[in-house]
Amino acid sequence: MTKPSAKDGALAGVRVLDFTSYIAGPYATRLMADLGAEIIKLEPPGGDLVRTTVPRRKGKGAAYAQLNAGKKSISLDMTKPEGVDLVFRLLDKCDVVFENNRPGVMKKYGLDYDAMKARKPDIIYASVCGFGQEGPAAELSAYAPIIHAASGWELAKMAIEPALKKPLRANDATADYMSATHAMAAMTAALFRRERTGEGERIDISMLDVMHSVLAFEYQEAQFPMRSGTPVNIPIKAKEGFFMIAPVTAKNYTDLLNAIGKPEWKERFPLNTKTHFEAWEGLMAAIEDWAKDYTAEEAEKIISAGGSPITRFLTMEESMNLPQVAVRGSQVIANDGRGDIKMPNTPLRSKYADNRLRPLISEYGQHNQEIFGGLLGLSEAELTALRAANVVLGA
Amino acid sequence: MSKVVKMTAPGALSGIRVLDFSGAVAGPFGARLLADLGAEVVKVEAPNGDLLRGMTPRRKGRSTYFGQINCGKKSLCLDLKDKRALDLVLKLAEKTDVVLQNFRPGVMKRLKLGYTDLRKINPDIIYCSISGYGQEGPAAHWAAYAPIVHASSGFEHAILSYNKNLDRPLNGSNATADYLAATFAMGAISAALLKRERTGKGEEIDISMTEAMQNLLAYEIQELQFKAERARPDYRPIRAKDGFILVLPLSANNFRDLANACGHPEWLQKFPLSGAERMKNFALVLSAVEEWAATRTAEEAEDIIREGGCPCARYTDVWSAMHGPQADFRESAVEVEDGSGPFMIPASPLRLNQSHSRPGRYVADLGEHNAEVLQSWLGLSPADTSRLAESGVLFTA
Repeated sequence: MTKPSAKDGALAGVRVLDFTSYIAGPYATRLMADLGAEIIKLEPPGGDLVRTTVPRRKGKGAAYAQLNAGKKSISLDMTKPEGVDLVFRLLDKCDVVFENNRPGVMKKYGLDYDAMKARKPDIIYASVCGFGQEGPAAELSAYAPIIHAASGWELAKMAIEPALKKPLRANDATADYMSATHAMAAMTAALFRRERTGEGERIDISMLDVMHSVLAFEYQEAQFPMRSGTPVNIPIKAKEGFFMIAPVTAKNYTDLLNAIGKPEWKERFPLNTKTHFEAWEGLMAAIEDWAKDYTAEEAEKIISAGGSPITRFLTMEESMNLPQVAVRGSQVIANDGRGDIKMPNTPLRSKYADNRLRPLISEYGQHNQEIFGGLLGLSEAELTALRAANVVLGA
Repeated sequence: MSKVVKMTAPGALSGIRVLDFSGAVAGPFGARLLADLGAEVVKVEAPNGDLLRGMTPRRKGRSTYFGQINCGKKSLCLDLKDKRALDLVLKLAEKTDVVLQNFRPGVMKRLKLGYTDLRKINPDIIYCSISGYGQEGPAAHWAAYAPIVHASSGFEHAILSYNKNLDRPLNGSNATADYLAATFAMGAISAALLKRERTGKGEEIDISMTEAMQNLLAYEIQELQFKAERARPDYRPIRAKDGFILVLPLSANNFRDLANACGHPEWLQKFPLSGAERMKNFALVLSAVEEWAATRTAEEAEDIIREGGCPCARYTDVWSAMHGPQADFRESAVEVEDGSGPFMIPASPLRLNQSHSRPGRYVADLGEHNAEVLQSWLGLSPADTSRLAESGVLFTA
């Protein structure tokens, strides 16, 4: 690693060899790119599948752009020995290797942790997969919704929604993103440790573990079942639209009741007593009754003026256009050659380091010349031969 | 690997000191992840303690929900509005590497514990704040808990949009925005520690839960800007005899494995999942699987389809999930204890196999480490700390 200056991103000088595709892996390295790390995304023949996932403009996926901004792309065939040889030569120049294949796949290519550690003892080698690298479920294939169903996550959602007769239809990829942030944090902590001790690390993130970890209440409630139900946050129907309140502390509660002119409800619905659950349900019904005369926007104005937590339910579009987003610089424009794309900036915001989404959207294999020629020092003739042998692909 | 390798090397963050001023979930879980990796985390609590200490489920007055999110930390309890207490905390701030806080923006500044205050006495301090909307801007002062952020970030609307039969947003009790913000904070702090190691410079970190949630909606944000030329396939639960399963034949291989596992190779010709009819056929495949599953329990159906190689899961409650063979193999559930006895928590998902990365065993009672922390960090004598307790500067449960 070259030493960064104080103004660089926090991970400037760190180089990552990134074998990942889909979401859980790519989003983790996107975050590292935001912090200034150099990410070399190594794509197999055909490239990351998400490159062509909808929504597309002239064949290019916009979600791909958001998940892979700031990375360099090289394309090579790892099933060929010359491809594996190139990977090992890149390994010499890298600090971190990151992959999210099904367990066993990297070994099949001869690119597993033991093989790479033998070549570079202080390598930080991180894997993300559905159930962990070993164990009876290790080789099961898993996408985020599978983990949502298998971890208790979906049934926990269903348990607080009496109207549902079956689990929800789900398109969100929560387990992927959650696993990505955990992986990013683990790789970064390992880099810190290597800086102090000189030692490498083997990181093994299981998406199932991640989801259990973020179900703290449910994980405990499963061990210590409660007699009464759990107070849940219920969307309140207003004259027009819905809003959500969260009077968690005593002060929140006082502020809420004063704002709507019902301070006497404190006695009628006493929270934080033995009858908390009944009182909570009663309060929610009473608030909904109050809200019949107001739009969600009006209710939000009235209650937020008092300082108690509230929001309208916003659509993605409304939320993207909140004044706060523009003021904080929470949105970045990038261009992938098919026009401008709005993206959320990195949530890893800091005062000194240059942490921000880097708006480079690489074409498949765009950096073959730079990485193989520049970083590895291959001659033009060598590179031409590798291209002719279909080891180095694409551009 | 996890089962076999039991490393006793110090954790990646051992030797790092953290003053944790946070409460509820987002800050405390971020600090717990730091503690799992060996950082010494001192949780600074007001006399009435972290809100979560009072939350169910409780045994003999102690919340295991609190315990899961705070195990491995030390507890220091004092009133930051008391000048004598504040002076002690400022001395601790001189000795710490990291400060983590999730008060509403402005509160720490009013307490004279803002970044600019602490930077004067500890120039290379790493100071991380988590809030609903960020430290500055028109929404900065809005009160926010996770469900509020779920509703205002577009997340709940996205869930609603996948379920056309729902006429109102879902009830919320999960704390996704908190946990997500926690892991962002933990990653940002680790990155800042690395940078400080290499440049000697500290950092101020500003995590917004809203930004965190919007990052989780890549598809939705892009779909808004660029109408998708076709919808994504619906991931819908399939009803079996006694429960539900989820099947995701997303690749050609997945589909082949599914059809073969169910004994219906003809599905491959009947419902081709490429070409113009793709979406319609995807729905037909799921209906065919539902018909097939009607005579099988969810567990049987899951076994058959999984063995065949297609992604599949039974909808499981968290209790069964935490006791599956895989969780046992990985020792994913860890026993910890508080003063009311032992209980299980999920191990840190941050598995660093060459170094210690497991949760600490003990959940501190309020103020349990008052004397220990002040003696070890500030060199106070036992007589000093007794005096502070007697004069009402330090509190305990």
